[in-house]
Order: sequence, then structure tokens, then C-alpha cells
Amino acid sequence: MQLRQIVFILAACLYMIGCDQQETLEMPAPKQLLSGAWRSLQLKDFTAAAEQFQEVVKSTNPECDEYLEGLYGWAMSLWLASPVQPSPQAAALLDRIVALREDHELAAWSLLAQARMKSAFLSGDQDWNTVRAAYQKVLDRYPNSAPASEAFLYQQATWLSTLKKEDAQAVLDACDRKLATESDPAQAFYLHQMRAMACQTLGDPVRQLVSELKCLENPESKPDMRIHLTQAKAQPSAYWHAAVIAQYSVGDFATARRIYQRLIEEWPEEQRVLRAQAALAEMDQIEKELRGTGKSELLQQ
Amino acid sequence: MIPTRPTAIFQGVTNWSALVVILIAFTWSASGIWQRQQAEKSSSEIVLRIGHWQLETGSREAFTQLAREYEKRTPGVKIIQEPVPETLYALWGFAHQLAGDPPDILERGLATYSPSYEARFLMPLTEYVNHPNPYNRNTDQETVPWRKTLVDGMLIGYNFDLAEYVAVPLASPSNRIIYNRTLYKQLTGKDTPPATLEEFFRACEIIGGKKQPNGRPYVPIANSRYHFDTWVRIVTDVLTLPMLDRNDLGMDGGTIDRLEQFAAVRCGLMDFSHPALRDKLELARRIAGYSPPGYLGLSRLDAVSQFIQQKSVFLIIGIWDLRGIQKQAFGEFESALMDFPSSHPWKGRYKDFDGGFVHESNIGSFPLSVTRASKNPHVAVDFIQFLSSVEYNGEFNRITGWMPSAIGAEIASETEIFRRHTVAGINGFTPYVGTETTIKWRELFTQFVLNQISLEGFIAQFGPYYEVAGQRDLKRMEAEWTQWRAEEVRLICTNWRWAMTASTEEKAEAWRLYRRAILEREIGPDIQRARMLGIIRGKTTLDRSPYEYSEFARANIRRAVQSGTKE
Repeated sequence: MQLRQIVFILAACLYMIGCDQQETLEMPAPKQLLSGAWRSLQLKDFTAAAEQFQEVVKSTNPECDEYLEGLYGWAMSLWLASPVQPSPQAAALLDRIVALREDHELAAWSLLAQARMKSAFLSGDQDWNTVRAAYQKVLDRYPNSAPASEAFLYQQATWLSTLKKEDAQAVLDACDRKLATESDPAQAFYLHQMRAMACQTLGDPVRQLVSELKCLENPESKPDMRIHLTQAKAQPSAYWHAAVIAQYSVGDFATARRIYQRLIEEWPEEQRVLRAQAALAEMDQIEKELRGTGKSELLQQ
Repeated sequence: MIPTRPTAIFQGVTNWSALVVILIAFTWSASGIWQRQQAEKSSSEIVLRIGHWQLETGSREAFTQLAREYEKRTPGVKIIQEPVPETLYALWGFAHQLAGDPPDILERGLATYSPSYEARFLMPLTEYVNHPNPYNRNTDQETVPWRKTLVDGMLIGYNFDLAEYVAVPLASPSNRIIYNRTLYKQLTGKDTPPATLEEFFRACEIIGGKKQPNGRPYVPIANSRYHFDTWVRIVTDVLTLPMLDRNDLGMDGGTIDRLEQFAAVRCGLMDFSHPALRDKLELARRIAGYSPPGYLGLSRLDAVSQFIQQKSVFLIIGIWDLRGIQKQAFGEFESALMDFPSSHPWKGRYKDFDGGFVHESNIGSFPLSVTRASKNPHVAVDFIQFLSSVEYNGEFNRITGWMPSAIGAEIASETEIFRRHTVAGINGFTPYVGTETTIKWRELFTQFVLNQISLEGFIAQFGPYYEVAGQRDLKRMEAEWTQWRAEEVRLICTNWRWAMTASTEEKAEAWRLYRRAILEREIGPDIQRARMLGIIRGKTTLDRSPYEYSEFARANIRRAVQSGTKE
């Protein structure tokens, strides 16, 4: 028997085994299809995700929520498959959502996604006006929605990234106006975050520290269980940043001490603990020297 | 030429032999798999298989012992371990996953797993980890969520891309020095190991001056490329901590970011003649000077055998190697463990702190995952809970000779010395912007530790190169950002979907995760990057280094002291 014949027989056997195990597949329900499609997107299989979302759109009618979510996911898949360039086809799908159900929450998210597609990969000195206008559109049409809060942050970030003082001042003013009426602590947290960044650019450490302290006290900074990233990395970093501003930029040793102590107590095994202890010792030393001789070399370092 | 008959037969055999060998091997393996499947099918027992690559002394014994204990407590369950050599492990794991026949429990490691690999093949453990571990009943951890009962909060098992826990660590790694106590006493006349760097080098000097029975000099430190890199990472890098005062431009207090470092150099806040960097380089060269000739070309095993053959006195080890080395030394010489020699090399604000120790992150090791193909995933999770409980994790690590991952688990007295240094320094310097600067640093660093160039020569060559090649590396880095950004957008998109569809109990938390991701993964890093690029390109100037008191601060501090306020 020739080698070719053996290979053929083996292949035939494998094929028959494969045929034997074939089963009749039933079409899953739209909700299941959607879960599968989002899973594909999560796994970066954008082509499969686009096809699955398209399947949802085909199998449902425009009155269904699943239909809208299918359109939205389809648009996201098309965009993320080639994210650097805005996708006209994705934009058209998002437009369709807004046109079909302007009052649906996905319409607001679609408008935000269009702005994100314009802005996510811009950088440097590019013209941001179109992007800002796109975010403004979300703010104007859906003023009290979650997408609007997000659009506001992204819009302010475009100003902050210029690092110009006049732009930073505009961000500071916009955040202050919002904060005056904001009752949701979660939103206040993000507004103070933006405010602190604006103050840093403006070289205003006192107001920067005020905002950073407000953030540390905000429940949004202490997320529950699941947000490990935030707990493990962001919180000690936020403590450290605020303490350093208090110590070196404002000269408010009392506040600096309080925050370093909190860092040491709440994160006793954290990598910043030794430096926090050194900072506490340094402040004691400076005060001791100033009380003794009126001078401190450490203060000049 | 017409072939003779024996030649033709020989050729025929040669042509077919490969196929015959393959068919025999295939039949043999297939029958092995078939027999095992039949045995599993016919048995009423639940069979759990565990794949891992920990072939060090003690780990297989630990699994066997704990498996028998678990089987006693859980009738009807049988546990089989499948230890696989490191070199084959990744391939073996992939092949079994693709074939749909992986072990129920797999050690996660030895390969870079993409999120899609983990999502496809590993079972998410998130729903389990937020509830107490049932095996922690009657302990301090009884009501604590499982993930919080482990030293790293199960961080090593968390997949940020999937926002899911996928693995549970069983141990906690760290490094120390093992030394030949018999030889140390004989050569130095001392009974206690060196406690400071100066004592350590004095001992090295004495040891290096003595001769082995074969007439060759003793080499104080058994070394190889692997071991030397560990020396550098643990003992020398920490000396650069004070550099953070100049280059931590983001003021986050953590280890230095390559962009921050480049910006600090570009704006003149820091250069390569910084005293802390000189200290680090000189220390690395001193360690290299007490190592065997050509150690950079030696393997990890070469260094171990050098130590076992009593040609050297000191060897840096990871806790996972301890049992194996002790076993090999047994009956030959007395080995003992010592901590890293301490020193006080820091200056300025860190002068009162011990510069010998690097911060050892509370990260777990030996992470176990449950595979999606497991027929008994809940039993697999239960066994992992058993292994990571306060009582049994202590027992497991007592046998392996490692540090437990479970908080409150008993630590064997002999491994006590491996307890992590947590109030300690961190690396404050990175010479890498990208590929070009990395290659150049490594090239010059090797030349320097081998005494082929002077410290001044090193600095004079690297500084200017870093500034020029760093710009090219930065361009490449900017191209990579697009890729990273795409990843962030995808992640945020999946977080959004989770928030939109979360149950009532999870909804608030899911939205918080989504919002924080926007701030921490997009807006915050974008603005930080814009700041650093502004400094690098000369568009932004800094009036002082981040840890220097501003005029405003100085005035406030003086005023407060004069008015006698102090909390």
C-alpha cells in the first residue's frame, strides 16, 4: 500500500468521525446571541463579533431593545477592528439608533460613541474643535444622562491636554460651575479630579490640594471588592500625591502628616511606606531645626 | 547503477521506518488515553487532574500528601497530579487545551497568556473569591472573602482585561542567600554570617584569597547570568531610590516610568552622574568581581553545581530552590540561610533608613486555575479552596519549604528568613526608553561589570546616547500607544456592557468600575503623557524638582513654626 493511500484512508476515517458527531444546531435567542457577540468583542475577535451582532439585528425588529443593542455592538466591533480611523459604516449604524429611538438610552450612548470615535486616537496639536463640538452635542441633547457626564469629562480632557493656562482656567471654571449644582458624590469625585489637574497646570497647589483631599474623602475613591486595580494601585498613589502636594508645594505639614499616616496605616506593606516614614521624619527634623536655629538645610533641598 | 537487492531492502526499510515509528507511538499514546478515559468512565469516582511544572523537591510530595488528606475528607474524589518539565509545560498545556482534554486544574505560568486564551480556557473564579473560603471555618479568616485571605489579595490571579479572577496563588516567593556554613567557618574563622555589605565583601576577600584542595582559588559567590540579574535587581537597584526625588515627575511615589525618566533627563533635572546611580554601578561591579570568570555565560544550574561542589560559599536563591539545594548539600556540608547584607548607602532624606533591602511585593506565586473543560469545576474549586485555606496552605508550604500565601498560615521556622521585607526601598531609575536604549545600556553595563570600561567611560558614553536614541525610542513608543489605546477602548467597552447588564446588586459597582476605568486608563494617563511630552519637547518648563520645597511652601512652613502649630 502506498503512503498516499494510507494518508487518504486516515483522512477519510477522520472525516467520517467528524460527520458522525455533527448535530443539528438551533438558532440561539437574541439575548444569547448578544452575550456571545460581546464575548467575541471582549476576546478581540471583532470580525466574529460584527457578524454575531449583525445576526441579532437580522433576527429582531427595530422596536426591540436587542435590535438597538445589536446595532450598537455592531458599530463598536467595526470601529475596534480598525480603531485609528473613524469608521463611516459604524457611524451610520450609530446614526440609525438615534434616528430610530431618540429617547432610548442607547441613543445617548450612540451619540457619545460617535464623539469617542472622533477623539480617541487624536493627539498633540491636532484640531480638537470638531471633537469638542461632538461632545457638546451629547451634552445639549441628553443633558442629565450618564453619557452626558462622561462627555463632559472627555470634553474637559481635550482642554487639559493642551497644557495651556487659559485652557486649564476654563476647565477649572467649568468644573466649579458643575460642582455648584452637582448632588451625586460619584460625579463630584470626577469633577474634583479634573479640577485638580487643571490647578496643577495653573500652578495653584492650594486649590489642587483641596480637590485632591475631596477625592480622598469621596466614597467613589474606595470602591468595593471587585475593583482590584483601583484598590491595589490607585489609592496609595492618590494618598501619596496629595501628601506630596501638601508637603512640598503648599507647606501644610499637618495635612501632609495626616495623609502619610493614613497611607502607612491603611497600606502597611505598600512600597511607598518607607518613603512616607522618611517624609514624616524630614518634617519633624525641619520643624526642630527651625525652632532651634531658625534655619533648616532640608528646607533648601 | 542498478541497486543490489540488499540495498533495495535497506532503502525500503529506511523509507517506511519513520512512518512505522510514528504509527506505533500514535497507537501507544492513543491506547493510553483511551484506557484512562475508560477507567475514568467506568469509575464512580470523580477524578481531578492537576497539571503543574513545579518539579522542585517537595512540591510533588506536598500535592500527594494534601491530595490524600482531601480524598479522606471527600469520599468519591480521586486526585492525580501531572508534573511536567518547565521546557514542555507551556506547549503541553496549550496542546491539551486545544484538544479539549486539559487537566481540571492547571498552574498558570511559563507562557504569556493572552486575555483570549484565559477567557476561552480558564474558568472565571470571581463569583467564588468574593465569598469566604469554607475551609477557613474556626479561624480568623472565617468570614473574610476568600481573595482577601491571601497575601496579595489574589492580585496575581486577576486578569485586568477580563475583569475576572482566574487563578489562586498557593505560595509567596522571595529570595535570600544560602551559604556553605562549613566552608565559611573554615575559611573565615567566623560563625555568624556577614550582616552588612562591608562585612560581606571582607568575607569575600578572605574567601577569594584561600585555595581549594586542587590548588585553585575559591570563588566567593556562585554566579551565572540568571543569578547576577537577581543580585542586580534585589541588591543594587534599591540604591537608586533617592533618584526618585529628581525623576518622579508624576509624583505618584511608585517605581519610575520610562517616560518620566526621559523627561527628567531632557529637562536637566537628572543626569547619569547622579551619586545613587554611581553607587549602584559600583556595587554591581564589586559583586561581579567575586564571581567566577565567565559567569555571564553560565547557566542557572552551573551556578548551583558550583555551590554544591563547594567551589563557592554564597549563592543567591529563590525560596523554590531551597529544598533541592539543601537536599543536594545534605551529608556533604552544612548549609545555612542569610538575609541580604544591609548597608546605609543612601544620602539626604533617606540617610536614617537601611539601604540593604528592596521592597518585596506581596505578590503570590504558584497560581492554580480551573479549566473550562473540567467536568467537575466545583470540586476543582473546592480542592483549591482546601489548598489555600489557613490550615492546609501552611501544611502545603511546610512540605514544599515555601512561604504560604494564606494570611495567618503557619510559617515553618526554617523559612521564616524568607519573610518579605515590606518597609524597604524601591528602584528609582530606569535606563530604558525603548529598544535602542535598552540594548546600549545592557552592552555598556556588561562591559562595566567586566572591568572593560571605567565608570566615567560608562557615563560619558551612555548619557549622550540616551538623549539621542531616546528620541527614536520615543517615536516608536508613540506608535505603540495607538495599540495600547485600542486595548483600553476595548476594555472600557466591555466594562460598559457589564455595567449595562449587571444585576441589581452588582450594578452600582459595575458602573463604578466603568467610570474609574475611564479616568485611570484613559483621561489620567493621557494628561500625564501630555505633560511628559511637553517637558521632553521643551514646551513646558519646571521651576523645581518634584520633591523640592516651593517658595510658597517654605514661607508657610516658617510661618507655622513661628506660630507654634504642630499637630
